[in-house]
Amino acid sequence: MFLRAPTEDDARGRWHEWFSDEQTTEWLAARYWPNTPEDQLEFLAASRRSRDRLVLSVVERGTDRLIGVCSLSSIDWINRYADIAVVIGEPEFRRGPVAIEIVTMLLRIGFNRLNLRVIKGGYLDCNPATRAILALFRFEEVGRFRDLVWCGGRYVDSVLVMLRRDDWLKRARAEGPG
Amino acid sequence: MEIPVESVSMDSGPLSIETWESLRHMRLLLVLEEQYGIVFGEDELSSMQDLTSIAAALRRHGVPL
Repeated sequence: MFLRAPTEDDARGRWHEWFSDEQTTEWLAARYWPNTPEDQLEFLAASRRSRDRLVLSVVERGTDRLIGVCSLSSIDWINRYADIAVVIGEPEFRRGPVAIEIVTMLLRIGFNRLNLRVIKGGYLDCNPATRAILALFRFEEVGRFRDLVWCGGRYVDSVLVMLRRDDWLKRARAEGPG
Repeated sequence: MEIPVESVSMDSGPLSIETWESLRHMRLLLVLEEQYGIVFGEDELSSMQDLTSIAAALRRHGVPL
């Protein structure tokens, strides 16, 4: 996988369809409204103008196939933090280590290139995959909105998490003894 | 993975085992770190795509196999 700037072709193509797909948006806050190519192009244009949002397309190396999008948004350049988001749009890539590879690249961009101190995020407590990957990267739970969102036939917590640069470095620098 | 042990080989991984989906893969890595008191590097996490590469990473961290 590699990350690159999104294009108009991305927005008109599968990208806009993912955000109208019930399964892909199952655990996303903005899942209730259908998405259109025009909406996606407008989002792309707004992202390019934005000073506090970095959106990147996730592309399969070798085929150049667009398989998802990821972002660092609400970037606070003064206090150096941002919100992380990853969506794997193509279902066959939601297996094995693909999500790990994407999060690894995005955290490196955030901490190394953008010089962030903290990357934060959130997930619904009915979403075990996001909980597992955030735990794997040492995101720390810092709070919960109790019973906030209807998911899977019940109201579930919205969980808030954060990863400090120092905690990220423990894994980024971890290596086997040789 | 909810599969018989006999059906697992060192080449087994997400591509060859239908039930080896993303959530189970991440839980497996978390359990291994917890069980052996080790921390995999970022590049190791991305490279562990089957049992052979997982075993190699464990050996690098001094886990006897």
